[in-house]
Amino acid sequence: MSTAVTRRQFAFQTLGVIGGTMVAGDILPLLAEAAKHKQVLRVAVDRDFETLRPDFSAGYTNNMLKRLIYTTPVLWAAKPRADGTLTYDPDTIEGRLVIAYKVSEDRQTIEFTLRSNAKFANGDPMDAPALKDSYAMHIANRGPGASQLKVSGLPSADRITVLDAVTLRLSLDRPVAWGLSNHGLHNGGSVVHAKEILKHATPDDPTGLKWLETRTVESGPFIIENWQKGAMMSLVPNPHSFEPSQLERIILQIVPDPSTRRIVLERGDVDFAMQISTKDIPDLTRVSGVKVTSYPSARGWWLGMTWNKAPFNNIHFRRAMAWAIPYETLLQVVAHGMAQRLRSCVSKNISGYMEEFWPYETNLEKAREELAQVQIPDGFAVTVPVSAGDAFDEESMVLIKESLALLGIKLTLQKMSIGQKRSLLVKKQVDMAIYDFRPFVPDVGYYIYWNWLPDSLNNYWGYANAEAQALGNEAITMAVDAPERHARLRRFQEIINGEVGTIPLFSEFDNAVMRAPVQGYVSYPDGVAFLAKLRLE
Amino acid sequence: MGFSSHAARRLMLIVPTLLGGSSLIFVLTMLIPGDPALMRLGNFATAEQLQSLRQEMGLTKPPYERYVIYLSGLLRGDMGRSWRTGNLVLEDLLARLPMSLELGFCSMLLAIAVGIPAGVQGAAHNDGLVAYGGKVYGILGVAMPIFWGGLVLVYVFYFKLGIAPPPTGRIDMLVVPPRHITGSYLLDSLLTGDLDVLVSSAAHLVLPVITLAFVTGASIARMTYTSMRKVLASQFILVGHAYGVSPRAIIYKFALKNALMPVVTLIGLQVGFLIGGVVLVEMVFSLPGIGRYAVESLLVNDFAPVQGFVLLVLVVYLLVNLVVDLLYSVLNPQVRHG
Repeated sequence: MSTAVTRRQFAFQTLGVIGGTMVAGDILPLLAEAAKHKQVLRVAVDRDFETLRPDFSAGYTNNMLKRLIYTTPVLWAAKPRADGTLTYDPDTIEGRLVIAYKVSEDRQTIEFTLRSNAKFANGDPMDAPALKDSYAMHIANRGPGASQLKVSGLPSADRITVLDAVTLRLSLDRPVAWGLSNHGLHNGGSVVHAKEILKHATPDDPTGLKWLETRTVESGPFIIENWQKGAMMSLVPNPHSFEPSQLERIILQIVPDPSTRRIVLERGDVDFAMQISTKDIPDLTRVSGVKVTSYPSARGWWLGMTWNKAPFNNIHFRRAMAWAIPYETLLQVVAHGMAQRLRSCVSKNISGYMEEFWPYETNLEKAREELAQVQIPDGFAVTVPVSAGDAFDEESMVLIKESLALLGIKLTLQKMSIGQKRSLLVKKQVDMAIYDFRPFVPDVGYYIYWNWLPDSLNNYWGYANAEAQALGNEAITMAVDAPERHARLRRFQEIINGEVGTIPLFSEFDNAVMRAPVQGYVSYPDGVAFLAKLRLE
Repeated sequence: MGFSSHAARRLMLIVPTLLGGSSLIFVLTMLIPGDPALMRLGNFATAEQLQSLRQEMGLTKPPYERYVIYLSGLLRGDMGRSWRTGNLVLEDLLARLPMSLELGFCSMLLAIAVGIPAGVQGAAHNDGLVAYGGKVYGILGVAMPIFWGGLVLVYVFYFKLGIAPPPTGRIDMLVVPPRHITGSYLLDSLLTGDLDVLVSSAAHLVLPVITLAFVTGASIARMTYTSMRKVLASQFILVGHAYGVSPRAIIYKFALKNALMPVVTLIGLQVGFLIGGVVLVEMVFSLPGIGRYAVESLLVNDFAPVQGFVLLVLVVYLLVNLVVDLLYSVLNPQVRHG
């Protein structure tokens, strides 16, 4: 075989090399740039971030942002599930700002040892005095942050003592079962730079909180690079953070329509999509390049009825309703199989949940027998508020309406915004409605505190039972694993489920939907993603 | 009555309309059940906190006092504060208005550019294929819901064919927005010479503009067709034909000008429809305009932005109709004399 090179071959090869170099001269820097930004996570979120105030509750998207830009003293540790995906470990609390914690024997004192040299994004020290100031600010502002701290045994800032630059002591007003884990939540646990915020106080804004609505000094692993209101936010790693992330940038793009979020994920224009409709989840599990992980969650759905008027407060009427609910149909049609049957007056998948006190299945015969013992007029009709656009609420109520129609009970569904419905619920002006709740701390006592005590804001139905409520109250202060607490929670559920205090429907899954290369997702009890833990492979 | 006195009279009428409108808006939003403080606090709050926040937000004041505060604020240009965004409503609206104006203006231009020729051609060639196509378009455009049309376009051109950009906002995620001058990405990228942004923002506007223009243009086409048919049957058109004036000149020089008056009126009225459509299109295409701002605020009982949005729409609507009225009087002098 001849190896001689002709003039023509030489000319072509030379031109090829020159041309290739010229093109590569342009392309190589681009490739290098692309490689450099390989760890850019593009996320489709459902709504704007509203406020940077961490103490206010502004929905899932906002809470996700808080977890990125504000650190907390502690957080639940992650553990692998059988399928290799990660979830929180309810028994292990690990430090973020804190490197060690000590809980006293009587569980009324918690001592935090902080990382030395921890800094806010502006370089100021994030030490024990700064953490105390942060707590004090949340307490003084009287928002949900203050509620979270109060329920953890910290009603006032004078219960917080700075022992030295890195040691803080919390003296709780009572021992609380969830006293430690609550410091991992975004409302009261988010560490803010209180001194810097106060620098922006004005006569119109004496606490600087209006400034904090739209600006902040970050303490978490990411800082805000660019925020175009209503459109997007980009974040880059906080150079002072002690929580390294493999991501170089996170772009949170606001895509309000759920079907649009789904298709941009399918096409690969985003890496992660939040709040995907449950009805789309089964389909997405079959899409190539898309990864769906479902986690049993603590978010439950119940059908509530008022205790303040007849016939709703009649035990036979309540039992009739409990027998008439099409439980399986709700699971398959409304939740598309992405939920579990719920059988108690408290959330499932949390410590203390028991389901042996709920005997009800769908049985219209038994429902009729119960209803026969109640004096209700012919053509009895109930108006039920329904949150417009909430598929679980709307579809569940339609199916329940059909089922109750077979008993001669007519439901009129009144669609309204979620805000309007919640206002009516809190004012206790609703006879019957579907409601949901997710306890941020996975503990039944915590659930009881917010829902079943006489002054709980979410005790929409005016439930009152001195024995049950006393048991609930007692459980709050006992150690999570104490046998006497277990007994109280058991009796509590026995009483309320026995009275059909509410009708448990289903417990939905948390579904994390992302492109295949996204790794490291951890499911937390509050359902809030921690994007800083993700990476692209 | 001269043109200037006619214009002044029409302008003066705007003031009481605005006053009445703003009062009506206030009353209507007061009637919406819902507690903003409750939404602000979320599920993890106590009854005392709720009461305290209600006082802080001024929700415990009697309605007449709140109305006085609202009205005196409006007179100072203060539309209140959104609890959801933490900003003054006026600031929020002004930040989002350029997006909506850009979308509305481009849509209206396209609707006029398509609707008038379609109507004219339909009327001029009554039995031809063009006329038939124009009629079908007129019916389809009016019957098709905007929301559905947008979703279909996204599905076909983005999801299936992959030739449209993702419906995720005004520009590509990795493109840096232009320096803020007017707030319109098209204009700002032109003014700053930023070609990347110009291309990206124009590409992101194509489907939303087509969605809105398709429906708006259909109404314009139908009105142009009807009006042109009427004018083409007039005596003076017959005379024109008899005198041997070319068909082209008859249609474009004589008939169209006379047929335009109802079309101009319709275009003015379509502005209201366009604003309604903008709300839906902004949701489908993730565009951060005033419509989406209002809808999202309404869902969480943030009423000040809703009041601000409706008032802004009222102002725009009144101004556009003023311009249409004045234009009408230019096209037909009998209007200002009559």
